[in-house]
Amino acid sequence: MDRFTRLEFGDTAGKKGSQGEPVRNAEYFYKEAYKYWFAAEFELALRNFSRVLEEDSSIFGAWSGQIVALIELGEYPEAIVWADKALESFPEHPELLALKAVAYSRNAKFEKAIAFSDNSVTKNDVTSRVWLARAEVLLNRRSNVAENCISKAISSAGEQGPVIKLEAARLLKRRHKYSQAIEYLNEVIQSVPKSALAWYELGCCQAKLGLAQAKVSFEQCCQLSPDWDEAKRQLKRVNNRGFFRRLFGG
Amino acid sequence: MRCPRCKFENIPGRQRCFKCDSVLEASVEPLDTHPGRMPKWKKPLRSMFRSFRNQWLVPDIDLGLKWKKHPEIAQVTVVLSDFIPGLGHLFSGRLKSIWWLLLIWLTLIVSGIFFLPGSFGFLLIGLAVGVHVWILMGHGIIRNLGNFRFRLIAAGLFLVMLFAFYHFIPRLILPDIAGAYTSLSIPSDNIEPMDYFITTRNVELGSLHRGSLVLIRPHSVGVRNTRMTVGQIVALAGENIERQDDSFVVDGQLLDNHKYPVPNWLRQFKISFNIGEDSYFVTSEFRVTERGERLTSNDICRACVYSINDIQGHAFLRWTPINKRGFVE
Repeated sequence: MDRFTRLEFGDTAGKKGSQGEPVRNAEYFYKEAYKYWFAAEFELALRNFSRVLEEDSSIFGAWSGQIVALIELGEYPEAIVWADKALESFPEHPELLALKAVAYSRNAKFEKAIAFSDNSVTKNDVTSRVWLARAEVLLNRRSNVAENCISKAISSAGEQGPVIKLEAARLLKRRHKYSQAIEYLNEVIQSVPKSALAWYELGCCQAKLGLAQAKVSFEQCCQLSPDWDEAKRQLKRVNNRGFFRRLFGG
Repeated sequence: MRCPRCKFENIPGRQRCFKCDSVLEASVEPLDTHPGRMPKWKKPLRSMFRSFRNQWLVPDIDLGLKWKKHPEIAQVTVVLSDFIPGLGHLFSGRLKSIWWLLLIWLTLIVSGIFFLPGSFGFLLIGLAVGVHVWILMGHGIIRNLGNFRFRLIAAGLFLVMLFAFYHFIPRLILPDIAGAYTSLSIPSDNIEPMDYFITTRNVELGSLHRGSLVLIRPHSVGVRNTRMTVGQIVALAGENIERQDDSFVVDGQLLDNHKYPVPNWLRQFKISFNIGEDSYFVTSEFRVTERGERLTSNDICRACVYSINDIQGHAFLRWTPINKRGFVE
């Protein structure tokens, strides 16, 4: 919002402003970053989070977003280094500790993952992502408490509900709990129908359960993100499924 | 100014929250906002080690050394260094914890080599491999492996890898050294069948003379020969060789049959050859079978005449029996 939009000139200056080029401030880049994250364009999401920090380095969401993007890109040691850098600005922040736990866990360093997760849940201002990280670490240990952690994460998500639900669904998918994942993914798609990532994950879960809707989900995904090769490959795979694959899933 | 994290009301103008020390305002100083990225070449390497760690085969070892920036290199180094017993422990400063195992390994390996190629020697080397696996399993891995099954798989895997390692490493370290048994009996030098000789593969034309013991792969005459053996050079290039009773006659000169004995299989044949250039007449108790009724002169020539290229090594040391161990001329 620029400083002249509230002035009354008796014309439609406000409307003109809304039609023009959007102001490229931290808020704009933050929204763009999440737009790309929902489209599974993690490289672009990371770039936009970096631009948010160029505008305003005190925005915590951008720091955590960068770390999440690095984790999604499979750059776990880099994510840990960046989390340490963020901890300089936000000392002992439970979400940063939780993200370190996720990075260690995905990098198959489970002892460190559980240590950081333990540390993060003992802090005061525990966020929904902390519970999600806890769930991920505990799922690696096949603990039954993990599902309670996911419920806690979703109940405390607030505005970040779709993001947390999508992450929870992806986590459940990785642990082969497809039915539960589909429940969350349906909710995400109701909130963010243009999320290619949500459609893709939904398609994967449906395909694993042998559901015919998988094809529709992958088609939606390919429409939203036509350049996503993996989605195209999955759609082709679903289309070419034989009788036994349809019967038993996969 | 309220801290967005802990909601503490701070004095306006503060850079950091008084309560939780979080940043309240954007830093005035330039700040690096772009995280370091992973080089592409590291991706498959990291993925491989991640999958190893997922199978709990590679311990999560922090060496705490200058390789900390390159954990992949550090882990490769740990895995490779473990193949030299004690080196991995030396890197991680835990050599004291396995010194007695190292001592046992060293004793077994030295005594194993001493008694090789006898079965007792092989038994000792096998035990040394077992101790080596024990050392490997003690180097952090056993602590990080979750259950007995994984430990057993890892131990089995190491055992197979180490047997292969022990089999090939002498050939890599000493490529010019080989060994073989002889089937000859040479009374003058007290050489008997099943004596084991160590040979050097650096064979020079001038170093071979009458009486030299050489490593050869016998030519197949009737039956296929695959095992190397040690034979004796009786006649040199350009010489004429004949058999007279139990002795060889070279260029008309009768050779001492205690020094140059006629092998049993050759005693029933009349021989008379002129040895070609760069060739030698080498005798041993070769395994030959008759094709048809009798071995022909060509068969005997093929069985006993070897060119310089066919000679694989020159024996310099009798290794077994132990009581006769020593250098040969």
